[in-house]
Amino acid sequence: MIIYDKTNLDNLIIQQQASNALHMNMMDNDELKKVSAAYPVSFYTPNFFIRSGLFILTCITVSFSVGLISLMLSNLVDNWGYILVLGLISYAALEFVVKTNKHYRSGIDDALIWISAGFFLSAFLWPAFSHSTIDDTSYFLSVAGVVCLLGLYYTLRFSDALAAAVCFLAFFAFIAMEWNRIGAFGSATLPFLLIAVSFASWFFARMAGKSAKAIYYLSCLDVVQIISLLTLYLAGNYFVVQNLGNMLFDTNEDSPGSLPFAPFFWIWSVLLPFVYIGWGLKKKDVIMLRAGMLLIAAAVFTFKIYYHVAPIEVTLALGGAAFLAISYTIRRYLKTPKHGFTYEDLNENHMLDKINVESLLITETFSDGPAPAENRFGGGDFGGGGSSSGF
Amino acid sequence: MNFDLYKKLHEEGLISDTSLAKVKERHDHPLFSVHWELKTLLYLGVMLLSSGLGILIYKNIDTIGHQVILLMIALLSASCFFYCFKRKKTFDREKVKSPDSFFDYILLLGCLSFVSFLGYLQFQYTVFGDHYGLATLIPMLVLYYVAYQFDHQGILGLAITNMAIYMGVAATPKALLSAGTYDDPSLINVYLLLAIILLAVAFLSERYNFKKHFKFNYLHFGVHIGFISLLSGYFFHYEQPSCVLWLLGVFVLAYLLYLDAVKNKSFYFLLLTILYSYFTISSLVIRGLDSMRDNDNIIFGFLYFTLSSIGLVIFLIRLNKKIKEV
Repeated sequence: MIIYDKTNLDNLIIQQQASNALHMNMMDNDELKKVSAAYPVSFYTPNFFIRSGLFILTCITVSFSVGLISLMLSNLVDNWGYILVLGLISYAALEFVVKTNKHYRSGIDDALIWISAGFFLSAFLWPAFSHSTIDDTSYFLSVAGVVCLLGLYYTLRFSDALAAAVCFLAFFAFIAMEWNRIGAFGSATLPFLLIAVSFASWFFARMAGKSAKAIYYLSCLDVVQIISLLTLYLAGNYFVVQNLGNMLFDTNEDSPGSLPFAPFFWIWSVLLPFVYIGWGLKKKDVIMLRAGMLLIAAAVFTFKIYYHVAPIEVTLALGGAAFLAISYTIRRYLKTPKHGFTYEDLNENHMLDKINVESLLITETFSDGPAPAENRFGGGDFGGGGSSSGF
Repeated sequence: MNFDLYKKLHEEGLISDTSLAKVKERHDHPLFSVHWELKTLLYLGVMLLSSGLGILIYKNIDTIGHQVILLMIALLSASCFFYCFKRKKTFDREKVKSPDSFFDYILLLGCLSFVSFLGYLQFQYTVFGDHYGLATLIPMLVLYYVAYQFDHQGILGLAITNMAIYMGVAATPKALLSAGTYDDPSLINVYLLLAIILLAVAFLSERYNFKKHFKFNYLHFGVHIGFISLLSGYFFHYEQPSCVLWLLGVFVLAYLLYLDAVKNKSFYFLLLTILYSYFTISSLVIRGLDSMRDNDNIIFGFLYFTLSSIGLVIFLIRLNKKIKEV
């Protein structure tokens, strides 16, 4: 099913393992060179920046050539078959660059994956949309179904992580809409079903990731794990459930105790992120740990929506101070590695093209200078520190 | 980590005994790094604390509490700097590795609260009177000093944006593009001057080997600001003959940057050069087609973009190979 040559993929994995070992100082450069020579990879995979450039340029090429062809064939354009042909042509181009030119994550293949999938989807939507007898729910159901199938195909064929994410989300939406359609019972039990589906898909992705057969799809399975952990939390989050209920039953509830099983949803909203973190630390599961950290923010927001304990700026300042205190404690505690944990960076290979991404992030977020002053020395702005604008 | 793979590589004689022993050691005693988690916590902590304090001052201006808050911020800044000066390493023109990421972020917090403190002083007590220049010059100088003394690229970025503020403009590429103030010729000139200064400093840092790794930050801002101001100048003077000069500026900058990027194998700057030049050339082509006053010019436009982007794809792939081989 997978389009790439398996020997190349295997060798790529070996080379990645070897370069990991190099960056963790367990191997030297000569050894890496020897390994790379013994297990050569013939893929064309440029670095991140060239990849982005090729992605942009491919999008330009396709949009203008499609525009050109459409101008010439202007009497054929108003037809879904035309879109389908465009999809088939771009898909053929995709298969060609991958098979013949050995492109692997080169930017060109990335762009063509999304362009051809977009054409296929539009070719499908065109007749479905013009079919006036179809109702809204069936329309969205069919869209979700088609997106899911397309995503599944592209995932299996190109092992593309983003396609896997789209496929999973469409699948999730499909299940939710279909279950809701069965009536009042469906709507009432929707959160529980979604919790079950998320848990099942997380469990499946985690188990599948351990099997040797899935070796070429590890990044896709990781993405499915991440998203299903997030949907698992959101499906039981009090705020989400309440708003979903308001939407489905046309009610207008906003009190923190009005939901049936309210205690369950509150426990879920507040405690689940900590369960993630605890489990992540116990099992040394980095996906779980990071999902937990992210969801703590969601838990805090959910709490703040219903209970106003302190004004926002005090919350921010105290929260910030707490984060600093926590990180200081962790650093002190892990001064020497304990229980297999360390705060040292083990793999120091994240300098992208000698670019210090961290420094750019700091500059972008901490110096959001508002529009420049009208005239020179016209009182500028003190930048930084969130000192509010317009001084 | 797949230990069997390393055993296989060892049997094939590709890796040495010592390397295998190191891998085995790591395999038997795996270490789990929370480095990035810790860094994220630090980043969020500094961000939340400094913005919380910032809003706190703003909301409490003219109340009794503001002096307390001012004192708190001053104390926070002073204690951060105290901590950092106590643990600082000696200055060196080369890259100095910071003690750890906690140190980096405490330093950042110290700088941010210092800048807030000064800003607040100026607003409430106008300590610098009407010398607005001074009110932005001092934070800028302090930030530059801290960035060089402690070798902190994030603070260097803040110093650079502060320098832009001192000159009366905003500097981050995001702010530059969203501000939309391209219509003011004096502003364009200030931006151009800023870009020239930044590019010159970037060049000098490398030339005299003085904190050579800071070159990236200067170049990053210099290149974006330079291209955007030159292009704004070109479009502003679109109808006048002087637009040729601005256009010439774009190509000179692109050429110099191209040479530098190839020399340093920097794919990031290479991509920037190519995209900015492509944009410039395309706008020239559109200008030419526009003046044709012919119905075919749309077709020619589409044809131009199709062919030129394909050509550029091929060029980029070749260039990538060339740089890798050198």
